[in-house]
Amino acid sequence: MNVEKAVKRAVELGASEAEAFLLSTAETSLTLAGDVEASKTVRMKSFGIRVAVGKSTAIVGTQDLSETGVESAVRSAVSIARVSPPDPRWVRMNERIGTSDVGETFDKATAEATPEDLLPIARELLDSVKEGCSEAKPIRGFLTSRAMEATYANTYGGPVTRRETMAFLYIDARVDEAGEVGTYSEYSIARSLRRLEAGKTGVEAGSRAREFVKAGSIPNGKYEVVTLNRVSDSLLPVMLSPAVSALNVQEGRSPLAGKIGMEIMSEKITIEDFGSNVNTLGSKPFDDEGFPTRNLTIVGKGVLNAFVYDTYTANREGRESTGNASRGYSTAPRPSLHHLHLKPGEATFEEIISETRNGVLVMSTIGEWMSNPVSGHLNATITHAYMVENGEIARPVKNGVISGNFYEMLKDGLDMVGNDTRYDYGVSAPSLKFRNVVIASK
Amino acid sequence: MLKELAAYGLNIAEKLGTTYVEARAQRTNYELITIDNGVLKEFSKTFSAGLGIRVFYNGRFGFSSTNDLNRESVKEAVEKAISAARVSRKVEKLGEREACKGVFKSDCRKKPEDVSDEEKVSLTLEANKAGLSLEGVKSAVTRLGVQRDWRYVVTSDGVDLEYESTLLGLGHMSVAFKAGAMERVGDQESAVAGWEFIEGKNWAEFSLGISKLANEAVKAPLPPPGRLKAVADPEMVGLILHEAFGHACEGDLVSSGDSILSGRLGSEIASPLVTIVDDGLAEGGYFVPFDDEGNIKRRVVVVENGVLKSFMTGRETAGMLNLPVSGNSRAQDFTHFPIVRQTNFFMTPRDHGFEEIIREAGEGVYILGRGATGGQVDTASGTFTFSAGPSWIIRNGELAELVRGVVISGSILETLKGVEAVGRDLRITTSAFGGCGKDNQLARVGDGGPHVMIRELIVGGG
Repeated sequence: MNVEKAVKRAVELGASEAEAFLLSTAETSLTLAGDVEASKTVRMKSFGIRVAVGKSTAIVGTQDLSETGVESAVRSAVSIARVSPPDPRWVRMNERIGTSDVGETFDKATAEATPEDLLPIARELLDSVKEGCSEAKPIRGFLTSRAMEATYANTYGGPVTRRETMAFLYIDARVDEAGEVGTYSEYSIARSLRRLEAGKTGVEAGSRAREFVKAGSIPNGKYEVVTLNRVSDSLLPVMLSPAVSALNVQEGRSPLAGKIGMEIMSEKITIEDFGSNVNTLGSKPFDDEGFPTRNLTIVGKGVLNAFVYDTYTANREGRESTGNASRGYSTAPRPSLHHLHLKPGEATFEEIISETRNGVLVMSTIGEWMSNPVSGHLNATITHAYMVENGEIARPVKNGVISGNFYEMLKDGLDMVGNDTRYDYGVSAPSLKFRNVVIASK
Repeated sequence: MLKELAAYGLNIAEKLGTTYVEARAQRTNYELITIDNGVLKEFSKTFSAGLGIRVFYNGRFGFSSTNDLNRESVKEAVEKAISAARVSRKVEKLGEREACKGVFKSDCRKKPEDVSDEEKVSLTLEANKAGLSLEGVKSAVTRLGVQRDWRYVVTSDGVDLEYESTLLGLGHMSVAFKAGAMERVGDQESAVAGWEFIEGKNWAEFSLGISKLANEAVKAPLPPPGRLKAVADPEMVGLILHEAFGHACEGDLVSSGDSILSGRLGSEIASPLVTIVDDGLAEGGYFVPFDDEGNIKRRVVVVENGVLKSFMTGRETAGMLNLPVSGNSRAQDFTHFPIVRQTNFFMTPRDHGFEEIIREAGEGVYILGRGATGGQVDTASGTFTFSAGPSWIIRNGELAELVRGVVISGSILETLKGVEAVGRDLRITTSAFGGCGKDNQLARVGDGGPHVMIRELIVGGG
């Protein structure tokens, strides 16, 4: 299918501007439950056309890529835009189309993997759970390889195409001992299947599951809290991604509005958006409007430096996009971080623990996504943690709710930044140590 | 054409030596209008159509799908499904089911496609403006969502079922400011119905109500952290049941040992006041007449007077657990294979009036679903969490003051055993904007119940 042709067709039908976005995905995955429970391979092509008639816009997405399917999508988009009320803030679509160098983002073996190719990795993952602890059982998990290709063109230029691959595995392990149950889950994510750490992941899940058989509860109170790197990875984007989106800032939904140049966090904190970093999951050569990406400092030594923009929000302020447009095939672009990177500090994980007198080391949480990025109130429910007493990990605990103002935690509450960065898709951060965090429990 | 391709896929798969084939065709249209601070920010329409093929080959399941709607691609999908089956585990026994044929349609008096785009935009715009009309509210987003879903399942053992459903709803979110503080409150109302549902409600009043609540909430304190007695409204009961209990009753999690309810059938796991049902056609809920394996959805009594009676199953899990096939094997869309999911999961009513429950609670918190953002559970350990909307502190048997930022956590079994009173009201709701996520699949669901008093929940506060 030809995206330029679709753009031209929209203009013929009366659009003043048009952009076309074509997305192809291919995925092979195994669902694991003790053994390989199920397997699938899926190929999918989706097409989106967004048009402007003057200052009125509309988007139509379709998965019918036949000539008539595309024609009907283009017609439908133009006819909706004709009757839509104008957006007085609309200026124009992206006029600067290009690419940045982000290194190799595509691995052929991962893109073409069959279920059989995934099997040895799945076996290694399942078997290594027992290596972690002989009584541990792998209860649920999955292994996925995925390839994605995106092509963009608009009235002003293109097409540009990018492609990437990704591989992901996850395992939940369980140990039953004298009527008590211990569980733990671990994952690994990489650009290619070959780089997945299946063995290490399984061993970690199995051995931790055993430790949590005897998990006690956390007494209600205030603690020094250490978030393990993977917990930092899950907490930071929930609060920060929406808050630094220029759209939320402009529309009055960000607590960071009006705070550029102000000290919003401890000087130990530097946060970057790795839009065009080499070999980073989430970095890409151009954003979802064809604009070349770049690395951008969001918070430099505690000072808020920048928000992220797409073309629409940039035009509203008469500035250039930061190359942060993100979209689905049938949704409007919105500004969003590519890869949130919290710069590592000096302390090793062991040093952080040894500096903790009366604390909780948080290994895993659920529900952190229910935190409130508008008020800045953070909530996360602890499923796995350890009490830390006088510099030593004392005993496993579970169940408790961490609650507090995210920005206060990262400003006066922040004590130490680790050097043990964990790279996940779209985020990388080290372990962090906070003072005086409220934990509600039994 | 989709039906024809499904039949073709079935035919090819049988020739290639499969012992069972299930072909699912689907066509979905979704319309979304987003008004942001008085301006139409997005009007999108999405059309998707395709075919999913699941085969049973040498005693193993394999799945593949395509949206390239021609015979060649369907054949390729069948071959890929067979190749997927080669690596899957052997299935010892499949649950028996009756092969049914039939066509189902949800109630829809006025088709949304007969309503003009202008009318849809103008209605959403009016609701948004009403939400912005209140002093203190500086940001408001309103969305109108309309989904039309057609699903068709044909199988080699004689199933031939199709349904068409319409789901629509309006959602609104207001952000209030007060003395440097900000708070957001969002809510939505949806129904499986036609445009008459939208016409039958005053949406300007609906969004104004949300703005008023946001204005109150921004001034409200956080609750005291710790253990509190809780009264949950029907929406919160739905959310708690779905997260804290429903997932643990899904047959796949039970059979793999990923549920703390594994092996507990017949035992008392809840207070005797508790009866819980999963029903694909409950009023107010989502519309699931049959599942994506082509099983007719049966009403399942999961808990009866506190005793665990059954789990939700598909054919594979029914076979593993020696239970009837309950028709809960659902797929997000044609690109996914079916997994065990809830449909409309709710608690049945008893005898208490609302005021009576609050009076009996004495001291505690009245948690409300309006403004809640969801929940999550770790089924293996039994820990769950959910966020409530602005809620009320209960003091001396009366509602005292509003609190915000209420996050609840608890453990599945303790919570259900701690149910001390169940109301006589019943409300089940669904959503045109979200759903429940499991194994990277999103499913539309419904949930609810009456007002319920729970002995104790952990409340995160400040």
